[in-house]
Amino acid sequence: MSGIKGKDIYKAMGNINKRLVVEAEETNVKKKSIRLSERLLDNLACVAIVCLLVLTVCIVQVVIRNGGNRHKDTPVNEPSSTSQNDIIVDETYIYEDATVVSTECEYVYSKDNKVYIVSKEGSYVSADSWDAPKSGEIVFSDDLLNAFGNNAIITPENSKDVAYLVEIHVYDVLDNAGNKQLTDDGLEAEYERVNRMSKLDIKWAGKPSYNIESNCMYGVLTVEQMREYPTEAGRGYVFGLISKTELKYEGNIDELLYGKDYSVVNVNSQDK
Amino acid sequence: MNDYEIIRLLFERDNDGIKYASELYSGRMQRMAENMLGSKEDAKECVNDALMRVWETIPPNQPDNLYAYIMTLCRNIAYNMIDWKNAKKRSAEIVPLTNELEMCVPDKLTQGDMVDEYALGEIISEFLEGIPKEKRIMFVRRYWYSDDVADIAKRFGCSKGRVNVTLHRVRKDLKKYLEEAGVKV
Repeated sequence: MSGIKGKDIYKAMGNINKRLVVEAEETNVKKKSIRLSERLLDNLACVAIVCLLVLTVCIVQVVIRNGGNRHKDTPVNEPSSTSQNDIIVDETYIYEDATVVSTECEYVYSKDNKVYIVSKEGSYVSADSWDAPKSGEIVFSDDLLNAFGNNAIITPENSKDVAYLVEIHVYDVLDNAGNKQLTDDGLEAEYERVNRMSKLDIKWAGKPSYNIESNCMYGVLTVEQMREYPTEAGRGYVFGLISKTELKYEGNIDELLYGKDYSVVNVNSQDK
Repeated sequence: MNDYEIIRLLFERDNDGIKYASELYSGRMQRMAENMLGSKEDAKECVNDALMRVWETIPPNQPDNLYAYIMTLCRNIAYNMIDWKNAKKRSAEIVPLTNELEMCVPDKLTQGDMVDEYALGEIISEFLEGIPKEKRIMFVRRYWYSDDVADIAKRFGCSKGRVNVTLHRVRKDLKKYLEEAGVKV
């Protein structure tokens, strides 16, 4: 008999405390996007401090140069055309025409009454090509757009609130024979389970939003819920958050669910 | 339908118990078994076997956590299938994972020493309990669920490199821990 080997340790892993197994399945993991936004805020704070210092130096110089008298013709700065609600993005990843395939980690922002879709590094091209991350590709699924009828993208000016439209990948709800089970019961169970595991009361977009081909269903989460949501993004999980689209909208989530009273913008036809 | 109700149905020998268990957990079992075996068909067989085992073992067993119970059954069945296939020289799908774990084997191990897999499981649990949560989850995802590094990276929103480095460090620490814990070497 030989000593223990890697395979023995791998086998022994099967006997670890079940609590660890459950933890690894259900624990929320902080998404990079959240960390990025935190980092962005940190960076912005640093930039603001530096700007303030530079501005102070400039003012002192002007005051010295003018002998303490303010110049009468000092130009007034133009107000920024960027609204407070805009998200600062890397323009490299802004696309004018959204030839949208699917899904991962893009977000949408509005500016001057237009909608821009921004994809991130590592976005995936389609739900079926999981192993082919393609950075900078515009990704936005027709399924997602159709999830709320024609009202998927809602961008009123002066948005007051933010929510995320989420696309949940359902890994084959199978019956005993291995066929996809599309009964109401099966889906209800899935919805229930996702809500239970996430401990969130997710507002689902309704049964019609379930897409048999892509195995996806759609719901809306608030920002806070989004931070708490399990970030299961891998291939083949029973469910996984594979798309996160930030929507700016005015009003409450219930209204968003039914897409009432919002201006609708066709993403595919927007100019930058 | 929650775990408690499913277990109640199983105790009443109601077939719906298995039906609901399948609805809830087949997908994840399939995913894990497929990661281990690299074959959809074999994975499906494991899932069916695991469900059968659930039917056979509940009752008398009354697991606290049905998810962990059913996934463990499935993992063991998949592992046994790999063992059987290896014996038949058909395939060795988990070779990369076991190779990675070779690094955890204490240096002083000598011929003839063997550690009981349950005892080893407990020692590994103790070790995992003592490391930061993120590292722990990465390790369990990799060596319990047999997730791809890419999938783990995606789950954590980080690069594959970071996952690899983290796993490497945890394996190194585990090796040290096994030696210190007096795993019979």
